[in-house]
Amino acid sequence: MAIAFLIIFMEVNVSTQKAEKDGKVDLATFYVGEALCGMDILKIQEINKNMEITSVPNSPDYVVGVLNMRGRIVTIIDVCKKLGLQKSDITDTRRNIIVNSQSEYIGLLVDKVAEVVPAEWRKVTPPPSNVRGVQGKYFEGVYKKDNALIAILDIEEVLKDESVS
Amino acid sequence: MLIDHETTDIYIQETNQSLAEIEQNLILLEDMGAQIDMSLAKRVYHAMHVIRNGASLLALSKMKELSQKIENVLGLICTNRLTPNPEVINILLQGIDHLYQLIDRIYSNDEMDIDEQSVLLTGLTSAVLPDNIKQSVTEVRDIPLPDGKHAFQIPELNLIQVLEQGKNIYILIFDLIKDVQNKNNTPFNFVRYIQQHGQIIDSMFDIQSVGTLEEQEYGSEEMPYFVLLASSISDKQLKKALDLASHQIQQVTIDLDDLIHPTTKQFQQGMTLSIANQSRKTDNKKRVDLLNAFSCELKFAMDCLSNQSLSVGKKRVQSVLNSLQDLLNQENSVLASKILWKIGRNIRDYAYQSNLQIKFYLKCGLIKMDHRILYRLIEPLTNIIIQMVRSAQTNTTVQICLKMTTIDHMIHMSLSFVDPQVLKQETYLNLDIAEKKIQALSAEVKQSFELKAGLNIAIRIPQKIIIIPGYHIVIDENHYIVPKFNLKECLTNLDPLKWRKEDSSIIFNHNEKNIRIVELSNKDVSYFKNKQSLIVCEVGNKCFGLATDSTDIFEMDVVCQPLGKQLDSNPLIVANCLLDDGQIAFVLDMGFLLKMLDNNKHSTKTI
Repeated sequence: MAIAFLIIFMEVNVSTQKAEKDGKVDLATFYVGEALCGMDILKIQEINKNMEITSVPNSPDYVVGVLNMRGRIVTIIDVCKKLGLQKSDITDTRRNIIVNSQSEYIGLLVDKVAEVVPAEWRKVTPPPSNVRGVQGKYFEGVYKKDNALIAILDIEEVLKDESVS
Repeated sequence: MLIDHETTDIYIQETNQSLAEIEQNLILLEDMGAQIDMSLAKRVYHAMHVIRNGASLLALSKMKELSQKIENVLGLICTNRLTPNPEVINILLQGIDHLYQLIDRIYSNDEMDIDEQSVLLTGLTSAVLPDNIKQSVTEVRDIPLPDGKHAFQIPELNLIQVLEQGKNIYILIFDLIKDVQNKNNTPFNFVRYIQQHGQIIDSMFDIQSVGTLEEQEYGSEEMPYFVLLASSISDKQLKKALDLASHQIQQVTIDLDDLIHPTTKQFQQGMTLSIANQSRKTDNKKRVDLLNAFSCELKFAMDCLSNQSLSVGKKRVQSVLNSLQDLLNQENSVLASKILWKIGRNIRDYAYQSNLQIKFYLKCGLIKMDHRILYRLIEPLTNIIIQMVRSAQTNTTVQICLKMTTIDHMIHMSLSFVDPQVLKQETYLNLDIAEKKIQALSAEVKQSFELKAGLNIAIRIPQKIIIIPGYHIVIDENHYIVPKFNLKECLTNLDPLKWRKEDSSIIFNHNEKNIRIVELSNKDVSYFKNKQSLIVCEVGNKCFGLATDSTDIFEMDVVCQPLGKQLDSNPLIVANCLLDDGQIAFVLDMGFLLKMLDNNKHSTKTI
C-alpha cells in the first residue's frame, strides 16, 4: 500500500529546488499511516514512546498536544493529519520522533518506526509537485530501496504553522 | 489604632529575616563546638532580644514567651555556661521553627501550642545552672509600676543575667501618643531608640496590662508605655540621653540583693536600626519613581504604535518591556547564599535524626537569583543530597558540596561528593520527584558518573526567566493558570439552580448579580451544573466567570516556557509551564477570554 501511495507521487514534474544535497545520508524510516517515510537521522534528537500528551484547547487539529520531555515542553504533531492522510488505528507501535527545528524541539507522532536505511543523495529523486492534495510540498525527495519507496520528509515544511498565514 | 497592621507587617517581615539569620548562625555555632565565636553568639542573642521586644510591644504573648526562653539559652551560651552541641542547637532550632509558625499565624491570635518547646528550653536552661539558682528559671519576681496597682512579672533568671553584668534597672514611662505618634515616629523605631541605651527586660502598654479603660488614670489622649530597662549608665545620663522628664524615670529600688550583687560593666552601644529603616523607605521611593518613569515610556511607546510605523512602534514597546522585565528581575534578585543556606539546616536536621556525620558545603559566590526560584530549590536539592548521603558507602563523615557558577546567562549548579571515592561503583540516583520539581523551574537536571570524579548532579537554570504569580485551576482535566491580578473571587458550593442559559450566554447568578461565563468549548447548562467552583475574573473594569473542576484553588508562581511555534497563534493561551508533579499547565490570556465573551452578544444585565 505504501508503494502504491508513493507511485502517484512519481508521476509528476521534478522540483529542482529540493534534493540538491550531496553525499551519503542515513535515513531513519517510519510509517505514517501506510506510507513509508524517512528523514536524515542526524535531525532526530530522540525517539520515545511517551504518550502522556496533554491536549491543547483551541489548537489546530494536527497538534496532538504537548509533552513534558525531561522538563522541556515539546509540541507533538500528528504527521498523518498534517499530511492529510487517512488516519490509521491507534496502536502500541506509535512513537514520537523528536526533532530540533529552528532551536525548538518538536515531536512528530508516527505510527511505527522502521529501519535505518543508508542512502545517497544523488539517488534521491526530487519529489512530485502536482499531487492533487497538499502533500507534495512536504517531501524533499523519494528514495527507492529494493521494492520500497521512501518519501523523505521536508521537516521545516511539515512544521510550518499554517494557521499563521 | 497605634499598633496598626502596617507596624505588625513590618514586625513580621523583620522577624522572618532575623530568624533566618539566627538559624544560619546557630548552625555555624554548632560547627564551632566549644570554641565558639563569642561575637557571633552575642549577635544571635541580640537578634533574639529584638524579636522578643517586638513581641512584647505587639502584645504577642506566645511569641514573647518562646523568644524569651530561647534568649535565656542563648544568654547561657554567651556566658560560656552552655556549649552549643548538636542537642542544644537542635532544641534552639526547633524553637526557631515554632517562632516561624507563630509569625505565620500572627493574625490568628496565638492559637499554637508551644508548651512542649517551652518545657524543652526551660529544661535546657535549668540543667546547666548551679543548683542554688535553678529555681530562677521558673520563679517570677514582681517589679511594681509607679501606679502601685500593676507590676512587671520578670523571670528571676533574666534579672540575674542583667544584674550579673552590673547593670542598673530602671522603669521608664512614655506616652505612645505624645512620644511616638505625634512625633511621626514608628513604635519599632522608638523601641530601637531606647535599646541604644540599654537592654529592655520587658515592656507593656496594652490595656490588659495597665488596666481597663475605666481604671485608667490617664486621659483618653494618652497611651502609657512602660519599659523595664537594664542599663550601665546612671539615671542622670539616661535622662539626658533619652530626653526624659524626672517623672518618666524611676530606678528599681526593690531588694534584688538576694539574686546577685551588682558590679560595674562597660556600656554597650546598640545597633542603630532606625537608620536602616529610613534608608529602606528611600529605596522604595526610588523604585516607585523608576516604575513611574517606565510607565510613561510605555505610554509613549504605545502612542508610537498608532503614530509611527508598526515595526518601529513594536520595537519601542518591546524595548520598554525588556527594560521593565530587567528591573523586575533585579527587584526579585537576591544572593543565592542568602536563601540556599537553608539546605544546610535541613541536612543538619537529617544528620541529627539519623545519627550520621554529614558536612554540607555551599559555594554560591556572589551569584544572584530570583528569590522565588531559590525558595523552590531548597526542598528538591535537600532531597537529592539526602539520597546522595544514603548512597555513600562510608563510616566516616559524608561531605557534599553544592557549587554554583554562571556561564552564558545560565546558572550551573553542581552537586558532588568532596571525596568521590565514597561510591565504590557506578551509581545513579532515582531523582524522579526532585527532578520534576526542579524542571518546573525551567531547569535541566542531569546526573553523571565518572570513575575519578564520582557522581555528579548538574542543574542548569536560565538566569532570565518569566515568573507569573497565578492560581492553578483544572477545567476538563486540563490545567490552567489564571494570573493573580485577574482573579477577583472564587466561589465554591455552587447552587445548580443558579445556572441558566440566556440567549447564547451561560449565566450564573450570585448574590442577585449575573455573572457571565466564558465557555472554553460549547457546552449545555447541564455541563456547568457539575462544576466544583467558579472563578470570578476581572479584566479592566469587566468581570466574567470561569467554571472549574477544582475544589481548591492553589496560588503559585509559575515559571513560563514559551509556546512552540505551532501554538504561537493560539489566542487562548499565552504560555505554558510545568507544575511540580510534571504536568503541563497553560497560562490563560484573560484579555482573549473577555473578547470571546464580548463577541457573544447578550442582553443580560451583568455585573
